[in-house]
Amino acid sequence: MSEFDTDVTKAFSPDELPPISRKQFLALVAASAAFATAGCTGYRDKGEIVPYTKKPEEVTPGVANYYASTCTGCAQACGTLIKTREGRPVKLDGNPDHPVNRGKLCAKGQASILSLYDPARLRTPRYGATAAKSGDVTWDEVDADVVRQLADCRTNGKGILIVCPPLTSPTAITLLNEFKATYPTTRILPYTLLNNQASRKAWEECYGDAPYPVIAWEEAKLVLALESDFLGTDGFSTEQNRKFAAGRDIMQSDYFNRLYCVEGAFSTTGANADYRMRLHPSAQAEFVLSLLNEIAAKRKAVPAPAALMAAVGSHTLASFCSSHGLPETVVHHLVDDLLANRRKGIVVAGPGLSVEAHIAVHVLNEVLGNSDLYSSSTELAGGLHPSTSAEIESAIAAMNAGSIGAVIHFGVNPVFDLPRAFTYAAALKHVPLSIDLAESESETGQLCTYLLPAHHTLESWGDHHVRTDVYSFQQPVIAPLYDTRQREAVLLHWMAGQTAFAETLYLAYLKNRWETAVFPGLHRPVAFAAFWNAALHDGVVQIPTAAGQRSALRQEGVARMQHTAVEEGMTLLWAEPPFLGDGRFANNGWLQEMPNPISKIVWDNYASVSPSTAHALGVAMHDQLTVETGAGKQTFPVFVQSGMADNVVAVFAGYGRWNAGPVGSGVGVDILPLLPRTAMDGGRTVSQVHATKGTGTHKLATTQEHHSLDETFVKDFHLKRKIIRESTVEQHKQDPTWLSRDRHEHESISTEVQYHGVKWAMAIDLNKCTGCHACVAGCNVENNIPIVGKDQVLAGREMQWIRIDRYFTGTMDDPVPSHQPMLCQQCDNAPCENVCPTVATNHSPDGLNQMVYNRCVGTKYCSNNCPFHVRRFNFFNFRDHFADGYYEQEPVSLVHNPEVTVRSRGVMEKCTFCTQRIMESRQHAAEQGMTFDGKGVQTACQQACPADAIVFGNMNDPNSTIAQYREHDLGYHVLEDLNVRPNVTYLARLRNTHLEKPA
Amino acid sequence: MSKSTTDNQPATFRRRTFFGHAGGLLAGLFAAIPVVRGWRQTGSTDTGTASPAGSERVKVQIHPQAVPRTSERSVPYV
Repeated sequence: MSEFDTDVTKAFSPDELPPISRKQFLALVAASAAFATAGCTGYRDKGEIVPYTKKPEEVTPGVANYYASTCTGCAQACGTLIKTREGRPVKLDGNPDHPVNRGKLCAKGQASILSLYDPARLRTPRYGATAAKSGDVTWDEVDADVVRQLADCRTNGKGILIVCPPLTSPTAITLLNEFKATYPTTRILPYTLLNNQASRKAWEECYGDAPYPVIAWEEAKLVLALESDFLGTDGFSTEQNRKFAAGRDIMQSDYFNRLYCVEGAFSTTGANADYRMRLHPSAQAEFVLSLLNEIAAKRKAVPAPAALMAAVGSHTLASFCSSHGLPETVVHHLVDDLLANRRKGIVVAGPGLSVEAHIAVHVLNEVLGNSDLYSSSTELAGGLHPSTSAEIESAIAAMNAGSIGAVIHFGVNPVFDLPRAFTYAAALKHVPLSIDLAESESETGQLCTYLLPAHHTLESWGDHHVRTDVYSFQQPVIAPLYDTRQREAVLLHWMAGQTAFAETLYLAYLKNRWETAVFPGLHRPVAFAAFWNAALHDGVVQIPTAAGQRSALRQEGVARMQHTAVEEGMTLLWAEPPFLGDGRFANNGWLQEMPNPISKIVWDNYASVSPSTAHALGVAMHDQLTVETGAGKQTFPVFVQSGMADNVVAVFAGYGRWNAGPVGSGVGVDILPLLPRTAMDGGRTVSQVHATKGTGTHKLATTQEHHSLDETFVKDFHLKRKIIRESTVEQHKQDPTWLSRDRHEHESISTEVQYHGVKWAMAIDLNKCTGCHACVAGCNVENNIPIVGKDQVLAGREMQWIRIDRYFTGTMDDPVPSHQPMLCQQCDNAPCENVCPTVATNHSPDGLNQMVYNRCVGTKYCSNNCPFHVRRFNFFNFRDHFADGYYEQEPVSLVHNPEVTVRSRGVMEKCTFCTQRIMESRQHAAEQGMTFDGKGVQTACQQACPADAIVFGNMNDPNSTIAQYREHDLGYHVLEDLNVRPNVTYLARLRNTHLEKPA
Repeated sequence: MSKSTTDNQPATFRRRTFFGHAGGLLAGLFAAIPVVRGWRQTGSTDTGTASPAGSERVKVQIHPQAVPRTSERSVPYV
């Protein structure tokens, strides 16, 4: 019997049949079908398109409206130009008419639009945790209770404390003073963790009460940055980026500036330096004294008064270099350059350094005549000065003593961002009435009696005075989304007592102050109403002011020049994070997901240590490091950062919030428990730190090795494969064709496609690009890039269309960084197009490599075949996937640019050269009956770039800027040998080093 | 041989039970969808501003006192 006969001959047995009957089977099928049908009905309601019944005059559906205003994300108060569609803001850019930022805006400013639509915003007034009641409360009830309690404070002599940031608005400051007049027991306590008190104090020591100067960076031929990240987070970085880049513009400028950077941590400025040296922050003051000694005493190159000689006498440069391991050749080049560029160079010290170091820097600038670069036309205008630690301490002591009857938090979060040593949270419990006027719930709001929802900056009025001759206006570009009020209007209402609240309260106050206190002095030949409209239209008013006479350097300052001993043991160096500020942007997913310019880490802060220090501490990447200071103890994940000074632990502030919202809570480690109270007096170092290896590990998400063109463990691959091309200024002068000689014309067996009319191309000048990431933020907002979260970044699935590649060459201790913005190269012979089975990616007649999302079936062949690794795949509907659908909630979809498709799961996407902007421009030309010549189109990254490193346009127009860039001697294409014919041209980076230093 | 009563009745009964259960299940399911997924009612403002998906409860309006860039400025640069 064969094996097949066994079952055939087996007797039929009904008992062995499956127990399910035909009817049951059909019932199950029907139920399954019903479930499947029901499951498919859950698509979100897309709303209805309804016509205007009363169309506002300014709004034309489908046509964008622009408003000028001011960004309040930090103290720079940059002018903004806000694009709105059908009444909702969708994009923030710089105001081109603003004299400070000139049309540019940093990553924080651009991404801050997401905060307007943050679902975690407060929508109605609410009782806080310390109130007798809980839940929502009406504004009327709050007003009645607060006015009564404030009046009680006035009667009983109890203090009222207004805790606010160092305001830059003259009208808001006037208002606070009037509030003080109404309630005389009021005390104003401005503060900011990210203060620059050391520099201010040093300036006062050296120049008395002379105004703090603005540096004419564009005129500086030489810059020496001492622990200063002036291209990253320090000062007016947007303006500084622009002006610094203007000094290395190979197309426009006849000179090329030189940047020396001496630092302990690794900053964006250090990454752009021609010479970078690592030095412990506590040795910086002595380094400057040694430079002074070399210049004044040894070389006798400048007049050396006795006080100066006395201060610098014992500090020789040679001994300093040998004891701190600085390369003597480079330091001697530095001294030569400082002397050769007298009156044309500038030495800057960062906010992390001590007062003594800042004084030494002021003296060095003075003896070299560099103070000529302190701009004579404008100075930094005064706002409220941040309080000192003693002032904060005295206010907190008053709270603890019960002599404060009410605390009003005016847009600050001291429970989180004051050093924990102040014990502010405990003191708050002793205050009967505590109010948080905030946009969203925070650590401070959690402990208050009332949480009062405040307008977002895009819903608010204001004026900002950060330069003596510039007033920047802030106007609302959308009516309040919720039952919120402007902070200033709330105070005005409480000053007036029991009257009805009006939304226009602060507008009227602001206008009235300008009409009565400012306008008459301007002697303008127009009525105030016209002036006001024009001011709001322009967003800025310039009032020429006679430049103040800078006083001479005070001898007391020179006498105070000294250095503190170089610290033994470990030092904590804390810094402002590149994108989160003092933690205020923690709940902004775009900014959390912005890679750190140097480490490329997202969604975390960490303890950076040098390789030697890591070895000494016995820690490696992702280990935990417990850092203990006199104030407290915290544990950070370790990031081993080459190029850092030894015995330094560098950490970023702004992380570790516990009540920031679903996106920002619990991200990173809070550094405030480590800081002493004196952190509020300037300087950002804590000495005598005890660092030990902690238990466990913490995986950091870094994008450094994602989408890499590099091959692991091949040293200098980026140079060998000619991804990065570099030389020195001198070598380029001697041989301008060094790069173009490398170009080879590739023969093709097929007929080349001829592009008639417009053909789009981009050029990126690597000499100007500082890697600030403003372009990434601009692209995110313009193109509706989703936030994916840390787990997806760890899987290499971040979605940003433009990334800044960072490469290191050199040694572990002295790495030489290069960076390169990498986006779709829009290749003529695009390898992605040939492999797409559905022709979802194809070529347009104007040279764009375009994506048809509806055709894409997600094979990812294109991504596999792209040599630049710039395609991004939607592994999920990330809006739904991230943080339990946080960014699918009401009203986040309002932030989407309606001109760009919102992509869903399973679709490939990539840079489009902002095709929506091209189409809009093309449409305008057609409407006006003009031939479209491609002029005037700006991509979002180009518009954002503060250094003007990105050029875009029609390469077929020989007179266009892009055509000139493409023909430049320094122009090259990445991976040119592949013959994919990219349309993004990079201009090779030149390092302005002396010739003996290899490029 | 005639069929017994019990042969006929259960078939009818089971069919009715099945449809009854299936109908009830479907009705319950459809009723639960809005609760589970979150009911979003499409609305519009008095100025007729169409609201994008998921934003129906937010009223989007331009600010009446703001001055847009697209309007012509009537006075020289200030």
